[in-house]
Amino acid sequence: MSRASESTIRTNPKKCTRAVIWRTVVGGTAFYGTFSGAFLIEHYGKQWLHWTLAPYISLLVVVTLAFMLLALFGGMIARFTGPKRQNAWQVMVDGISQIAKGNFRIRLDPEVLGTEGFDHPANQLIESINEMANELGQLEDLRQEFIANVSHELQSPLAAMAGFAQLLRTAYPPNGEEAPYLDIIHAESMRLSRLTENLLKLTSLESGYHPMHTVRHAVDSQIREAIIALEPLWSEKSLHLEVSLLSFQVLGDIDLLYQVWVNLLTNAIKFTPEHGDIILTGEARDRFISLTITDTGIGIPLEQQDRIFERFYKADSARTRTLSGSGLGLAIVKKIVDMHGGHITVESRPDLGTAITVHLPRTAPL
Amino acid sequence: MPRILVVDDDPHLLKLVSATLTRAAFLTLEAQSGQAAWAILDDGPVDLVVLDIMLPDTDGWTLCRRIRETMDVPIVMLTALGDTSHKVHGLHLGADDYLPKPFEPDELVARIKAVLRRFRINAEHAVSIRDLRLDSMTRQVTLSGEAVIMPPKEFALLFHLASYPGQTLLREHLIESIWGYDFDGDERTLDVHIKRIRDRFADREAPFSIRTIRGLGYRLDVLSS
Repeated sequence: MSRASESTIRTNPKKCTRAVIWRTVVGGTAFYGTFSGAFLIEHYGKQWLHWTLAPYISLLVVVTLAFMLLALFGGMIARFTGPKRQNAWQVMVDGISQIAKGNFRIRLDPEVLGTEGFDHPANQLIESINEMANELGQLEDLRQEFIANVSHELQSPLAAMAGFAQLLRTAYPPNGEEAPYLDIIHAESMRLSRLTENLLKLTSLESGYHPMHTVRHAVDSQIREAIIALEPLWSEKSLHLEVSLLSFQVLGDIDLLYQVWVNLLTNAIKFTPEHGDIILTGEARDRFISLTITDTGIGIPLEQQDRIFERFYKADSARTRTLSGSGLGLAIVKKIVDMHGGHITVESRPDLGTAITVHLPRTAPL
Repeated sequence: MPRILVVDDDPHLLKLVSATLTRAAFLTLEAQSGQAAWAILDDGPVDLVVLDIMLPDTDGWTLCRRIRETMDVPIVMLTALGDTSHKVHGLHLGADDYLPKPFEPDELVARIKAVLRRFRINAEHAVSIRDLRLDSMTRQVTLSGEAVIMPPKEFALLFHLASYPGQTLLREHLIESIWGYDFDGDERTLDVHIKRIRDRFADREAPFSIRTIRGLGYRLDVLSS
């Protein structure tokens, strides 16, 4: 930060003086020029028309003419410089909204903007925008690196614990009642690992600094990709998947939305018994696109339907613990959908199934 | 016995991966840093590299790119970050597969076998399912030594499906890889070709079946004898 203010302070006074001198010269020339012009027009016009005017009227005519000429002159200058300046403002506004969306890899170039030379007032602003983007970018890199380090440091030992427990289980099958102990070590380390991952993700999302890289993309093919990625899970349970999605374009963050589909599908798969059905449908309405994941799973009692998006809330704790959820999946889903300006609706009947619908706005998120 | 180089800075994880692979009848070489890995690669050929992204000296991305630039060996990346952007980044740099930590040892072995299998398919230009053999160089199909005549597109489609047995392939990906990215013909063309392949093998006791996964694509399942 100190670097930025230093350079600004040092260059400022010089730039200001040059601009003031330049403007005084141009303004003075224009002023005297137009008055001389007006005087000449009045003088020769009077002779040509053979008029004689009182000195006071003469003066009035000269002043009026001079102002008209000045306005005409100014209008002509504005015609040439105006659009350029407006264009520069537009580029700066675009740049700032890019930064707001989390893209810090931008640099505005005064030469490209056409504001170079003559100490254009916009240059100072451009410089500060570039400086801001740079600083924010460095901060964002640090944050990402920190998250990467924390998850590496936590996941590696957990992976070793879970892996060795399973290796022991298969390499030296224990007899009798010790067998489940190794399964417990394995299951609990996996649960801790998922918890770590989700906790980091949720913390990052809720910090308010999580960058959103919004692009228009086909959400239907993204959902199909997610289904394919989860194929081992649903084919293991012989679930029947039915996908009827038309082509839907959504403006959103690809990675974050992918997380939404993966979390919702994982839940649907987890809570649906073998040979059950999972149906995916989509609908485009005037302002929203609605995507529904319907399963024939265990369902959620009505009084708990509002609470499932709370952190660590589990609809049926006894049952979910054995299924090793982290209790954060839906909280993450809700947060991401909120960030996109959408909302989620739940319809569920215990023992019959659940339908979760994600409504995403078709226009830009707020 | 395939030789596999495992690169990870965590000694316990390194031991776990190599113990798992040794049990699956692979020969393993271990390296705890990028430099050590490079020394082993310089020393002699390996069949596959299992690479952790976070290493103390060079990071995994750099090592991945350097390996890709200089030698033809498949890479499976291990990472604590399950984000899709990282996955895409890794695959873009030339990794053949990507596995988030913690992984199931069985899954690691299965993935490595699949990568080696695909790599061999690429090297030998041939894929076989039990007594069915498809050769992509000569475009010849043989079932129990008997030649089966197939048009080029049908062959390409079957070859593609047989390269990923038991895995659903999306319609759009199949169309893209067989007919090209700019294919603007009827989407039903894919279904017509699948039907022709099924008909062709209907009375031949084929060792596979092609399943339709509605709304998604097709999957080739290997039938047990």
